[in-house]
This record gives sequence, C-alpha cells and structure tokens, in this order.
Amino acid sequence: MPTTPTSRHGDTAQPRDPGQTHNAALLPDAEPAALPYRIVWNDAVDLRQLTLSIALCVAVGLPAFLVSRAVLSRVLAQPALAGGYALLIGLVGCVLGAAVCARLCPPKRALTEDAEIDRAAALAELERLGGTAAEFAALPRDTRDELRALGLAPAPEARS
Amino acid sequence: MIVNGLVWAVGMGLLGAVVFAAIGLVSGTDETATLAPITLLVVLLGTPPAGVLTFFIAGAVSKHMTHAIPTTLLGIPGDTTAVPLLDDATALRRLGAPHIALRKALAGGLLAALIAVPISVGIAALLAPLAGPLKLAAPFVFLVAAVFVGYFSPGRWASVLAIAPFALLVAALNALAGAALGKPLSISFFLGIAIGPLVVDLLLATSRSGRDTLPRSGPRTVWLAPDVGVGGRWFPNPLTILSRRQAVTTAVVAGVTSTTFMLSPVAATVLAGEIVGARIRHPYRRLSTLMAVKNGTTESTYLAETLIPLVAFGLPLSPVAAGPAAALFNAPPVYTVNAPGGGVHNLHSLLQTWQFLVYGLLGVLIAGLVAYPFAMRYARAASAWASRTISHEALIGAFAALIAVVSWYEGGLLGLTISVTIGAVGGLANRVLGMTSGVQFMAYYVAVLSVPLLPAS
Repeated sequence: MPTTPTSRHGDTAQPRDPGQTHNAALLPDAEPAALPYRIVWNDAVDLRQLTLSIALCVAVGLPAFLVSRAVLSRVLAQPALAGGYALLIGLVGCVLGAAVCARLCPPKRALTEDAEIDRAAALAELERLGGTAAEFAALPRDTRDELRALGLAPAPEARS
Repeated sequence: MIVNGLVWAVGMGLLGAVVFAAIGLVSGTDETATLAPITLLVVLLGTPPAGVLTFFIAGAVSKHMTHAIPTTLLGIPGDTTAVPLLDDATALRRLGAPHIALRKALAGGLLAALIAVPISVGIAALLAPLAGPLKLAAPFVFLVAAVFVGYFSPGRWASVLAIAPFALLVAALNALAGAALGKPLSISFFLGIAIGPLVVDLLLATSRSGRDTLPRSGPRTVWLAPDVGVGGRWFPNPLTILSRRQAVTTAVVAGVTSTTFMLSPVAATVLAGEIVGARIRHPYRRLSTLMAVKNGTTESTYLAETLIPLVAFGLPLSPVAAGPAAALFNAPPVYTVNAPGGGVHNLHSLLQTWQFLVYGLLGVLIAGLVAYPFAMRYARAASAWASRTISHEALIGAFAALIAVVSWYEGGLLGLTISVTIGAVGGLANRVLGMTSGVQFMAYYVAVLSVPLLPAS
C-alpha cells in the first residue's frame, strides 16, 4: 500500500476535550499512527489528500466552465446556449480532475478476498438460524432444489 | 414529434442507465447527492421532456441494481436506500450464498419496477381531479407536507420546529439573491441541501476542535465474497431466479407500495420486510425472499413517489419528488412550480399521462437491458475494480467541483456561497437534530410558496 502512515495531524498530541468523550466512535488517541485516516462522508480519507483532491477538481472544473462560457458566448450563433454547453464542459473537467485524483490518492481500503466457502460452517450457521432438517422437509420443492444446489441440504438429503 | 421523443427517450435512457450503473458500483454514493445534480444538468442542457423522464427512471433503476453489488458482495451499503438490505445480505453471505442474495435482489427489483410504473401512473390518473384545488392550495399543502415529513424523520418534533427557521433562512437568502442578481435562485439551495452532510464533514475536518468528532480509521478492510459463479445466461429471467412464491409476494408487495407516495422508501422497505419476514420460518427461504421483497419495495416506492406527484399534480409532494427527482419539477429557468400567472410548467404539463406510462416503462426496460445483465454477470469483477481504483478522496473532489460549477452557473459566486451556507446549516440540522434532507427540501418549498403569504395573512 502506498499510503503513508506518517501523515500526522496537529491535533494528535492534544489532550482530549471532555466534551467529546461521549462520542463512541472516537477511538483513543493512544494509537493515532495506526489510524491515520478520518471518516468523511461515510468512508476513510487522508485529510491532506482530500484537500488536494478538492482543490484540484475545483481548479480544473470551475475554470473549464468559466472559460468555455466566456468563449462560447462570443463564438456561438445562439449565445443563450453557451451556458448549457459550458456546463457540460465543466462537468467533463470535474470528471477528469477526479480521474487524476484517483491516481494521486489511492483508495484507503484493503481488499481481502474471502477464501473458498466452508460448507460445514455454512451448514452449521443455517442450523443455528433455525434451518433444521425438519424445516427443510417442509419447504416447497423449488426452494429445496436451490438449497441442494448450494450444498446446504441436510446431510442425509445431500447423499441422495 | 412522437418519433423524435422516442429517439430522445431511448438515447437518454441508455445514457442514464450506463452513468448510474457505474455510479451505483461506488459504495457510499448518496442517491440524492448524485441523481439530483446530474438530472438537473440534463434538464438545464435542454433535453426534451421525454428524454429527461427516461433518463431519470433508467438512472434510478440502474443505480438501485448496481448498488446491490457492494451491499451483497462487499457488505457495505451501496446507498442509504440499501441499508435495510444489509443484514439479510450479510446473513446470506455467511450461508455461503452472496450470489443468491444479489440475484434475488436484482430479480425482485426488476419485477417490482415493471409493476410499479403502470400502477403508480394509474393511481396518479385517479388522483388527477384533485390537482386543480390542490394547486390553488399549494402553499398550505406544502406546509402540511413539510410537517408530515418532518414528524416521520428521525428528528420528530425538532424537525417540525426547525422548518420555520430553515424556511426563513432560505427566504432571506433568496431575497438577497433577488436583490443582487435580479432573479431568485433555486438550484443553489437545492444542491446545498443535497450535499449538506458532506459540507458539515468538510467543515469539521478543517476545525481544530471539531476534527475529533470525525472518527479515526485505518485502511478499511473490505471483504470480497468468493466467486461462486453466477451462471451463463445473458439475460437471466427474473421469474426463474425467484421461486413462484417469491415472485408472487414481491409482485403483491410492489403493487401495494406503488400506491403510496408519502412514506420514505427506506421506511416502506423496513415495514414490508417486517411483514413478509415474520411469516417465513426457514432461514434461507426467509432471507432470500427478503432480498427480493425489500429491494423490490425500495424500487416500487421510489418510482411511485416520483411518478404519482409528477403525473397527478406537478408539485413535488413526496420526499423523493422533492429530493432526488426535484429537477423533474423545478429547474429554473427550464421548469418551474411557480410560473407567472400561477401553476406549474414542468414534465407534468409537458407530457401526457400515456407518455409517462410509455417513457417510464421504457426507462425500466432500458435499465433492465443494461444494468441488470451487467450486474448479474460482472458483479464481482466490477466491485473489486471500483473499490481498488476509485478513492473516496477523488469522489468527494468530483462532487465538490460539480456543486461549485452548477451553483456558479446559476448564481455566480453568490450562488456558490448560498450552496455552502445552506449545506452547512442543513447538514448540521441533519446531524444534530435529525432533520433529514427530505424535510429540508419541503422547507425550501415552504419558503418559496408559503412564506410570501406571511405579511398578507
């Protein structure tokens, strides 16, 4: 991972504000190096990279819109349409900016692939939830077929 | 004329389906914050009404399909409307059947969407005679609707009480914009409300004392479900993916929920899930049925909330209509609910009832032909690619820039400042008081339609 756990925020050494201790999501400040990111808008971001990313996207998108509007309103036969086209060009600018940012700031996610499904564990989980052999027998045939295809039929059933 | 409309509808429907199928893959993309501004853009660019409607319907249905992918395969809600499905999806995954969760959800969604369009257009046709008196009473109707939506938001009475200050703030800023620019603003308010939660998070991140309210995190571990194979058919028939009982239950629930338009999709989904889930004993059968029924309910409520107010009244009288679908009702200077001489000028007045039915179904079919087979076949590869490639920083950057461009388009620097102001206040009200964006959208209409009557009464 090219992410840098060295990026620190100036607040890490500060004593905690007692007014914020009610926040259950706030983790102890003892291990900030292991937790370099913050949750913004439901996902983890590096705050510096976020600042860079917003600045870059706005710096590409907004001038793209403003310049193309100024140019188009002089060039087009129907200047009324200039705003609309400029909007589209501005949108393209936003997307291009984001594409560059996606390269500069890699996702702060660690993708782990689950191993092969453990049939025994899945069967045990099904039993725990109440999917007993008796319940299985009471199911309509199409649902039993689905379970057989998944290897989730109770043991004697699976052999047949 | 009709051929022209059809060409636009097919073209824009395809565009909406592709764009929103892609956006749906990125987990955490809020529906209001994505559908609303992009639909607005399509309206402002001068797309004919048929194209606008098909774009929105195809986009919404596609997004609901692809956002089921992170929900079922990554265990992350693809959207706020996917949150009610998460527990059942996780349980099915523990049974080693994440692909079943996805397939049932997709099949249920497509089935429900096909049922919801004709039923909600039919209900709208029945309600249409009420439109005349309702339009005359619009300022009061919106006040009542705002109170109703506020009461059913997490904030309850706080949300209801906060309608007054919020509406006054909007009215005051709008008067300021009117004085400075010679025209009132609407898009800037609307975008501000849509991105409120993001604005608040960004403000907190810049605050030395507020930063610690944002939870710390390490790299987020995302578990990708193993590949169990989804089958080879290009277009897996939803009626063979669902058992007969599941198809019937999904269809009935979709039919019933298509007649309502004031409940939020999330509330309707939770309610439908409780009612259906309590009647099924076997866990696998219950979970797989719930995936179909819940995703179907989200779809049917969403479409009904958009189409019923649009076809019957032309006024955005539901949380979805006032939020994600708002550009279909109000997108000055193209569409307005406040036309000179009273009345509305938007899709309601520009399309006939039969056109809503045809283009609505067309939108669902296009989403069914684009997003449905894509999600069935490439779900695993696509979600792995999206979570490896698209960083959250880039996503936030793109939306911040999009808001800046669109609000500047409407009102220059003042428009942008108003967006940020409303975003900050609205986002705080959302987080602290539980005043959701749906209440705030309603409060905006109270400000525009009801507040001007204050001195007179």
